[in-house]
Amino acid sequence: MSKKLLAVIVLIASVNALTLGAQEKTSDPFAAARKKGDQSITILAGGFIPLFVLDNNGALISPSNMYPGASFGVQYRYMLGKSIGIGGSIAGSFVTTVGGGTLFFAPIGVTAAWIGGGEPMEYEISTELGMNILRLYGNGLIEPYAKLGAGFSRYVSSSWSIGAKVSWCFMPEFHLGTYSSLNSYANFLEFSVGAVYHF
Amino acid sequence: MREYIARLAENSLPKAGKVKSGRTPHAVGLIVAATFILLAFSGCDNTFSVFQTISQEEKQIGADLFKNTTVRAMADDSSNYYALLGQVVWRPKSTTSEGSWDVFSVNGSTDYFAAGLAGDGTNIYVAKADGDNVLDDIYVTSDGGTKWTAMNAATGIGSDVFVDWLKCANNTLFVAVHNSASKYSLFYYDGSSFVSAGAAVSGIDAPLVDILYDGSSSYWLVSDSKVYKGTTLGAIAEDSTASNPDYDRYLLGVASDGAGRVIVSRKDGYIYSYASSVWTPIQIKSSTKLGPVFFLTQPASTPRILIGKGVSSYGYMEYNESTPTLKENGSSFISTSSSIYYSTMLSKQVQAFWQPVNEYDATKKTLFILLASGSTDTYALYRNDYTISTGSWSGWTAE
Repeated sequence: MSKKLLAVIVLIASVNALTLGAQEKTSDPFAAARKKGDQSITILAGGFIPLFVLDNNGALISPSNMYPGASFGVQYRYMLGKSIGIGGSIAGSFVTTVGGGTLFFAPIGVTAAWIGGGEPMEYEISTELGMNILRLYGNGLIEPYAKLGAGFSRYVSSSWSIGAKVSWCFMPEFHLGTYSSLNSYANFLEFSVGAVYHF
Repeated sequence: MREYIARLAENSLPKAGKVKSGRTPHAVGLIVAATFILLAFSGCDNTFSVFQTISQEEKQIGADLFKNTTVRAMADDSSNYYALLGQVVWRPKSTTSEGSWDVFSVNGSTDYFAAGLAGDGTNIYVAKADGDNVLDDIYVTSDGGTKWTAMNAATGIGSDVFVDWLKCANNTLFVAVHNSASKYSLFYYDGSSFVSAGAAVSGIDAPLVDILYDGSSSYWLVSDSKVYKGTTLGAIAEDSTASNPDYDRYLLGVASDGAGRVIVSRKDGYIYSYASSVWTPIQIKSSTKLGPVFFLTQPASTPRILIGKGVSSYGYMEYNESTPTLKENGSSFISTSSSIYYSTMLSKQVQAFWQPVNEYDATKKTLFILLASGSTDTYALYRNDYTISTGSWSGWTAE
């Protein structure tokens, strides 16, 4: 009887141990996140605020005559290791002008980011470089741009996280020859919330 | 990382058989970079600055009456401006424009549809019509709308006609109409009744565009197909001068410098200039549909021709004959900045340019541009003031 009881106790203990083990494993669904080869796609939407514009001599163009607008973007990231990711970004933004016009941006660039923090919260500092398509009143320009941003995100499942990000956007325009006096250096603040799909 | 990039580039290439074996990921990178650089420089107007253009913009605050509407005609007397929308609206010349426009009471009523408006500097003529644009009557006032006189127009013109436009030329009122059979006719007021302006302009197939007096001896009328001319009221006939701009459905506008010269705009990018009994074609812009034309005599030393654009971007062009030079998109001449031009005229079809008979401020010359409603939420009437002493324009300002 005592052997049977012992056997039952051992069996129950084993089952419990297995169950607890399984529970312990599933309670950390993010254990596999952020390793080399991980990929993610981020969808972002938010505001786009004009900060200031400098002219060819570095003097402030005042007023900038631009009002806050909105932005939307999609980013792809590939993790080169636990903390470094690279990828690409395509976005669309607009601001309105005092005269009733709308200035559109369509930046396309490459990104690099450092990702830190513990799970489920992650933090990142990112940079982005690329070409920016600007369109105003039917006139278009294609110019370089740079972004420097910081953000955080929180896993809500093993595949999805949500977060927020703020980026400073440097959007210059360059003109050649006698029109170099038209060179301008615009600065914007982009803030956005987004969802990240990890795969 | 280099391995990864190489693998990524390799995977991004088209499948085997479509790629030359010697192409490396570096070559792909170079091609992408070259494409970007090519796009950057080929797709750009080096003379157009986005941010500096925006910095020159001005906030336009006009009367809401001029939003989402078309201004079809203007007139003035010594005290007021009048503009034709679905009704006639007016404002005193002495006030600032913002918010000071209101519906003009015609013959004691503000509940009417106006089919035409004209003025000779003293008298203001308004054609009232029913909802189908059928002529009711033409009313005239010479005291800013206090007293009106019905001109009994239907007696001379007919009761089943649609009013196309009213126009005063050389202090004579002309009325262009068409009937239900799409036959077009021109009448004028002889002081007591409306009579035909000529057998050649009675019951014709082509819509009538505009009429003017050249300041010398002749009235000039254009339909959308032919030019008509007459030195005597009631005897306007087809112009038979060689090489005139006649062409079916091609004529768009007519203007005069008030000293005997006449120009006519066409759909093919040409204006035809008549002076010393000779028509001369001037190509404004190749294969570009034009619009209404206007002789601008400010500054007097280098007068300009303003030409509406009939293409999708609409707006207008400015042509300086003395150089000759064509300016577009507000780049020079009467526009103070391209940004103001873009934020006011873009996508708006020009109906007419107009200058008042009586200038309220003797130190200035005022120019109005009348626009169609268009696709943008901007105004349909803008003013530009020329200061005689400085020879400068104020720039377009919403009415």
